Amino acid sequence: MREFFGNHFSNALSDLPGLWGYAAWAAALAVPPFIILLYFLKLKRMPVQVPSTYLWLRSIEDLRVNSIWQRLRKNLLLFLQLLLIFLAILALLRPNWAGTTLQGDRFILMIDVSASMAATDVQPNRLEAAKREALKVIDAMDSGDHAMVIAFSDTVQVVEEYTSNRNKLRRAVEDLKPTQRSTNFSQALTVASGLANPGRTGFKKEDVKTAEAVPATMYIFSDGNFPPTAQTVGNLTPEYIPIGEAESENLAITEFGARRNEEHAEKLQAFALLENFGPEDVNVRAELYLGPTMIDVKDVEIGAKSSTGVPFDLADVESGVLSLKINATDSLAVDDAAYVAINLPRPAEVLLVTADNKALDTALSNLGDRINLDTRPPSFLAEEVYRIKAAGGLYDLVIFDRCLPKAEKDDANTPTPMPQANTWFVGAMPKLEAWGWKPGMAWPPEKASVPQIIDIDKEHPVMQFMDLGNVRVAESLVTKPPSGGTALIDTSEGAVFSIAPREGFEDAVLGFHFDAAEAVTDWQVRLSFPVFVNNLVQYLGSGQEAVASSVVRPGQQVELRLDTVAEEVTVIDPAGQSRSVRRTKQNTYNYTAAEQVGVYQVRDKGKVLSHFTVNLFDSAESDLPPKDNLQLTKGTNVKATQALEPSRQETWKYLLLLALTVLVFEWYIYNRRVYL
Amino acid sequence: MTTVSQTLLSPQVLAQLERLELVTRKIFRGRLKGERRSKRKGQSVEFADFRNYVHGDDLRFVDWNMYARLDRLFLKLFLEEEDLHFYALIDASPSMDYGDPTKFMYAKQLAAALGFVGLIRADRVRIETLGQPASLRSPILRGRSSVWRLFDYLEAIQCGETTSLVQGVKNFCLRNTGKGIVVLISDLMDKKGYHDAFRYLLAQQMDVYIVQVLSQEELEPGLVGDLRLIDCEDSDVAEITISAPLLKRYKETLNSFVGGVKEFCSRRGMTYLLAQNKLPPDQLVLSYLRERGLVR
Repeated sequence: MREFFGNHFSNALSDLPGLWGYAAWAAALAVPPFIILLYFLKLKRMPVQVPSTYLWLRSIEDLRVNSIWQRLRKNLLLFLQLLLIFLAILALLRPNWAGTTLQGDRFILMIDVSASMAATDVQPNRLEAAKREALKVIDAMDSGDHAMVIAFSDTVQVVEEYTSNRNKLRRAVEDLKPTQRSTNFSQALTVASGLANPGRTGFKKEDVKTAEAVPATMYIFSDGNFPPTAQTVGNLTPEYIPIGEAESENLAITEFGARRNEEHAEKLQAFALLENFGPEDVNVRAELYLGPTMIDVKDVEIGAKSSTGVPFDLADVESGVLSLKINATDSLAVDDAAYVAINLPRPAEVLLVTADNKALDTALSNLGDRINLDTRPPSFLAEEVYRIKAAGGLYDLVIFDRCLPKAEKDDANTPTPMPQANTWFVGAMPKLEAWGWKPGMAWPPEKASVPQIIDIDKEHPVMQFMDLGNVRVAESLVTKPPSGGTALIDTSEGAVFSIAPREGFEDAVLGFHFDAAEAVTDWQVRLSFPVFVNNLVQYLGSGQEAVASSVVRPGQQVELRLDTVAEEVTVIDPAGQSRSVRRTKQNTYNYTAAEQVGVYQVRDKGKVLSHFTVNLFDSAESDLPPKDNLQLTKGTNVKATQALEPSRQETWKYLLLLALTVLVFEWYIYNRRVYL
Repeated sequence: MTTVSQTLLSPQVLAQLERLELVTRKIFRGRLKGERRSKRKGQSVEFADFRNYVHGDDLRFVDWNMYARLDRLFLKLFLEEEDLHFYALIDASPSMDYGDPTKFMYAKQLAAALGFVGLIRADRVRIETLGQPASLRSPILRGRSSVWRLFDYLEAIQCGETTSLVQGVKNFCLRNTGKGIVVLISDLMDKKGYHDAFRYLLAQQMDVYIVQVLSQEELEPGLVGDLRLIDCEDSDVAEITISAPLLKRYKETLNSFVGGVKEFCSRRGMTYLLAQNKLPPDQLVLSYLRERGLVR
């Protein structure tokens, strides 16, 4: 009761100046006794002469039996009037309770649905807690307030546009599903500020603003586990509602891979990185499985807030799926297991078109069974077999040694027909506009003589582990890379080796060749040459690697290169759902539904072709304790707040409404004589 | 019928009433020769029987044709026709002076209609009020020529007598000991009750008709508000606040009251009829009283 009236009685009094205030209250309190007085004075009945009171007396005799109720009934109007006055006085007292309210009238509810929101440190999980908080905001909205619901992980989804329909908003929030993706708040902020500040759709200063920018409050329901962004919030007022317990423990596998042993190529080594995000040291048992069989166990001690690497030696594992599980009882389950698929290596299909090139032949044959080498003379290019195979994408890499594929009608105005494969031109350059060719132009262009190698692009996989300081070149074509391409070997005369993408394939063009008879270069006798060929075939041949080196994270697209020509393969996800994937023009299969962490099986009509795995491997997601401050942009810190601000919930309107209802009821009773 | 008062009954009503006659379930002995068959043999045109001539019989009734044939004297007997006593007893208490038309006016009209029927059929008609002192006797009217006297007498009766129902009926019975039909026209709103009064009438061995006249206002009260009801007869006061339950209760009381009277009457061979002042009296006579068997 104290809280109900709070200090408002004294407030109401102090609102009125001094003596007048007391007088006014005295007047108000004097009304009920006055009404009662009036009621007793009023009880003068109108005299009416009737022929006989005989029947009337007999009628009221019966009613007098329950006289207390009769008296009450007689005074019903009095009670109604007293109730009316009581309600009016109560309304004057301005009773209220400490409620909560929202600031502003436009809200953007941004709900984190990333992997970390599946943590169970709050019951039942963080996403449900975030939903609860968001529903509280929706419930506190006044009619006329607009809100929008945005779910964000590494992508953004506007679940509900600006609307004042609270039911729609409520349903949108309740329908949110957790994902296992990582968090990218920058995109979410871009979308939110774009929707909230429509004026920013103009690019130049003088652009007409399409709509007035409306300030909005942006509620972020998240654990704050994401890096600061470079976005500005515009006229959004960010409010950060942290979800989760500050003392949440979590143990995560943040890295897990397998690779061939450096010394013994037939042996595999697995390596895992375990991270402890909790405040205490933890002993954990890491179990390594090959398929369903446990093959190794290691007990690991990890210090608080630190990480430990765990290596496993795998003696005779050829292929299969390795999974690592830690038996941790922590809040987040998704990072307690990691998977890696080891598939049988598939040899790359390489076509070498050459008159005679001993150096290349030797270097390629050194690669052994990693490639299927098919060496043909240049005349092969005119054959039908080549056309079909090249157009069908059956080669991974075609090497043109001093020759070019020819169109059926070959003249100066026809560009080179390129195969559906990666290509490497040695001492030749394709007649393509991208490489500087124009219809009618003399081809190939002039060669530069004695180019001095200045620089090589060691970052590029093709040029890794190489030193070309001792390589000399007598003459070379200048291979100016087209846009999007990269010059891999720069010389004093310009680039002599460049690589450039073409419709999903890549073309490498080397300006000189290795024919020992012509002695154009001495590269083929250098140590770097076989390394270079190895790199190049591995990069451009891109046969299926034994161990998937790249990490696929939930939500990413998976590009599958398979040893099949099937138009369609089936991918079965960890939940057992199958989905068919069509072959692309680039001879790959792009799978876009890798939302779950786990092992995915690729099948062609029931036959298992290969596996690939999806892992979280995100320290930011696994680091569970919510951040106290959200660093939205550089320098903008948003402190954790409660979504709802305490405020005074007025009730006098409802009291007056009730009083009015009582008045109408009283009027009805008085006029219609309807008694209970 | 030029002498007939327009206020009591219209000529059209009188024309309709002319076809009726008063009926009694009992056959009474009249005093004068009337138009009713009697148990007695007497002088009329209707032949009843023969009997042997005895010395002293009126020679006028000897059947001479029979004498010529059989050479014996026979006397022709005819059915005797006699008159009927009809009494209309009007309650003239102040409570009858309510309603539109007033219940009293209604009573007078009803008495006029019935009296008229009686006069037309050569019955003896006597109109009395309850308040009439025991010693005072009202005139007996007989014959069509007395119709105007009947109406004049009725018009002269004033409302406002304070005699109770019992006392009035008792006085009536003391005055009129003969047999006949008595129609009591009253609202029966007497706080002392109607039972004793009815018992006096029963003791008379008369053919008793009770017509209870109630006004529309009594049947369906249109009162509203907090009221102080004052009885016009004894100034009794009832304080009421009109409400739906009270009105309902009033109706129940009224129904039980009317039902009580009806049952009392039917158990004792009296005929009861509830008349409402909005129903024209001629219609009451022509349809309701005809159904009850008072007129034919």
